[in-house]
Amino acid sequence: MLKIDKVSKKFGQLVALNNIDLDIQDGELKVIIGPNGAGKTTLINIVTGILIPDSGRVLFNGIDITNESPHRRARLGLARTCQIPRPFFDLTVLENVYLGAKYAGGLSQGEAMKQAKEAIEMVGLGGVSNVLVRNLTTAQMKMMSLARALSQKPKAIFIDELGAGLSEGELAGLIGLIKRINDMGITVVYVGHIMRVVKQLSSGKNIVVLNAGSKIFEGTYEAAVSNPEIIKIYLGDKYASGG
Amino acid sequence: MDCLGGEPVNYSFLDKWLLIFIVVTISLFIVGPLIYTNQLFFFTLMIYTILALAFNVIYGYTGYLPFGYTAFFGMGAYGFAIGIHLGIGIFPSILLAVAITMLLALLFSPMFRLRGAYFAIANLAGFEAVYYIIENNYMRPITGGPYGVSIPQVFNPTLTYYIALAMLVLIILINGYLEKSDLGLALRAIGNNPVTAYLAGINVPLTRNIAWLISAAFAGVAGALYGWYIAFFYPESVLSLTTSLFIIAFTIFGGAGTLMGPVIGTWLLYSIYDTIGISYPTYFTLIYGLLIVIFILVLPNGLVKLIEKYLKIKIR
Amino acid sequence: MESLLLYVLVYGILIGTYYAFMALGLNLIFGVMRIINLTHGDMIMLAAYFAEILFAQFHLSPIFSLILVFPLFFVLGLAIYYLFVPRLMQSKDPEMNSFILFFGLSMVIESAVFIVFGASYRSLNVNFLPVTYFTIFGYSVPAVIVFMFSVSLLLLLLTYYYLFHTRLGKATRALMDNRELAMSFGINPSKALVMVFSYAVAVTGVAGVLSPYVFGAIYPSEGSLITVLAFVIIIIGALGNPLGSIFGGLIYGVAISLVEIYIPELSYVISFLLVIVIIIFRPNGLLGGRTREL
Repeated sequence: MLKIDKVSKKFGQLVALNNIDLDIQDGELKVIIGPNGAGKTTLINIVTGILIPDSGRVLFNGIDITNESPHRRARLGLARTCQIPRPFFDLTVLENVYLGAKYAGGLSQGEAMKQAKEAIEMVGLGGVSNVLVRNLTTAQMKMMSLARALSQKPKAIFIDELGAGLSEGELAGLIGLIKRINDMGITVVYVGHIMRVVKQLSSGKNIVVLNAGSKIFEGTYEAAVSNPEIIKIYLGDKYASGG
Repeated sequence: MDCLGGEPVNYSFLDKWLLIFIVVTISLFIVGPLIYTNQLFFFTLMIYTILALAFNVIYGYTGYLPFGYTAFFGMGAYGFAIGIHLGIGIFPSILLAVAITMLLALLFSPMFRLRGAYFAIANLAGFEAVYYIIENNYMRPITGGPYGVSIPQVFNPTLTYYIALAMLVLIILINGYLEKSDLGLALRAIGNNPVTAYLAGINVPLTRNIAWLISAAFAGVAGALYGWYIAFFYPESVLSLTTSLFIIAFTIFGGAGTLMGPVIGTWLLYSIYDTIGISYPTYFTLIYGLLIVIFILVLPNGLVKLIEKYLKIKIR
Repeated sequence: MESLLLYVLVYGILIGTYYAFMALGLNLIFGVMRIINLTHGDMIMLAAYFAEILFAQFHLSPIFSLILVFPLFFVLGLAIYYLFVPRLMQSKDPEMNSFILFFGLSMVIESAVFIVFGASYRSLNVNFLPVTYFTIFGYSVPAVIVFMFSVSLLLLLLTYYYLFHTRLGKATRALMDNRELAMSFGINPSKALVMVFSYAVAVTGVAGVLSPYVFGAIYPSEGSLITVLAFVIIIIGALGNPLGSIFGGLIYGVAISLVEIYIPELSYVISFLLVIVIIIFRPNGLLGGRTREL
């Protein structure tokens, strides 16, 4: 349903993405990993419309959205969370989530309100829905951005590094939540770092590894962790050669 | 402490408090001149209130501060005068004034790419350009240039007064609507974080421009009505930065982003100005400046929010 | 008229350097602490009055004022900083709040000056210089312009040296680049901020003493126009990048010189036109990168 076709992006001299080809099927749970600076967030930015690629195309359900503005992509069914939460600080949690349901989801007022409340319950923020986001913890803000993405009734959600800074228990909860979202039929692309999460979310050949702007691997989790090149970029030469 | 009352409600914004306030406003402006017979004072007060509320539509919600806001006011006045001189009649002239003002607003809209303060200054530069063009000798056949324009043939203070009152009610309704509607919420979202607003599916440029055009249109109407009322004006009379200063001071003092804030700020501060300050304008600019400084440091949310906090009630 | 064009370009560069210097203080303050000092033009105005009074009442040459104004305005900068900046930095939106606060302060300053000094226009004469004209590339350039150019250049270089070759300056640049990161390296912002702020006000004072020679007259309300001009220069160059105002100044200097000779009707609006052009083509200024319109 989502096709990323030879996408490249440069920032001045820095090549952020180099001819990336990626296909994501309907209902899939894709996991994209890679070291810092590999281009993961840039890729999400290009898919969701914050950035325009220098070359290449992005196709969503057959529609070429390469140059489409972000709000139209949201209305077509693309949702995302941001690595650093950027919520509407002076609005309440409910208002934050409601806006996604109303505008991206295209729902009526009553429907949007209902969706918003359900999404807030699902991520576990039911108790703070009338609190100003300014007063939440960072972890809560991250959950809230997930709620907003959910309430948009999206076809695909891009989750960018949501696990950072969470405790063991919270991580387990997050993993369960992501699986539940995927079971609902929503395509999930999880971009992350934490190998525990990656392992739990792996199934079939759904692991993609990016490094320095290129896709260097796509396959199973087991193949990934035994791949010497991947080990090298994560842990350095010493480990790759088995020493 | 909850923020907007939790649930936006598009069509029930017309609750009893808003209606009561509108009735009070209408009564004030009908009965007032009968008691304190200075009709000019009440008329000017209405005009300033319209301006403050229209200004609030853009500043109070999206946070963009159009420093040269008076440009729309002046454009409205001149648009009206041009219409009269073209012989198209009073109401078409008002429409012409609004149309020209909205066109100017569209012309300024690329400035939204600039952040906060740079937008304000760019807008100010825009105002200077408008002033320069209107005041220019080359424009004499159209705007009268530095010599001003006069339209005494349509002078009708009573009609003007009542139309102004109607416009005031309209902008009050719009502000009341914004306070409780999705549009208002979306605008506040844009003011908080335009990127996230985009991602949430909000058409940021369109929504922002809607607020901007409404804001400009009402400033244009106010200008047209003002020009009509005083029947004769120079560029300085309708294109004066002091007007911008006053509107900003009134709105901040009362509290931006609410309905009552700009209203109370205008009614209080303008009344003081009119009764005491007209004879000493420079002292007044000094005091207003001090007020702004103190209020931003101590009470950045304005008087209305302060009252709400102390009395633990919610004024609309 | 090729030789006229060349003269205009030379003149524009000389003037442009002054404009760049004039906008420097505003740019430094914004770059380091995201605060909009709307009293910038009023500082220039105050310094101009200072020089005028020293000259008219005490017959002290403007060169004397140039030297004296630096420490004086440095102290003024300290005072303003401690009065307002810490509170501003703690507020919800320091950028816009500073904008409004300094806007109010500007109103206060302009009214006060009007009340004390009246509206009459004042000016400084140029007799303090030993020569009246310099000849550069065969053109006669008023000596005072060359003098302004020299002072501006000197102080711009001084600022460059401070920012790039002293510890405090490098710390300042780190803060400008990425505040949180710099702080996590142990850089204490307060000392750097106070220094930069006061320094910025001080150089603005110096620019102010020179200002009557380029703006013509000294009067209370010139502050707002000057502030707008400084902003335009920064917008053209780059927002928050101290080198950016140099480009902005030069471009504006050349533009205004060209316009004054060839299309004088446009001289009042040239700043606005430049802003519009820049916004449409490069919203982050000449030195900023291209970003998506948002």
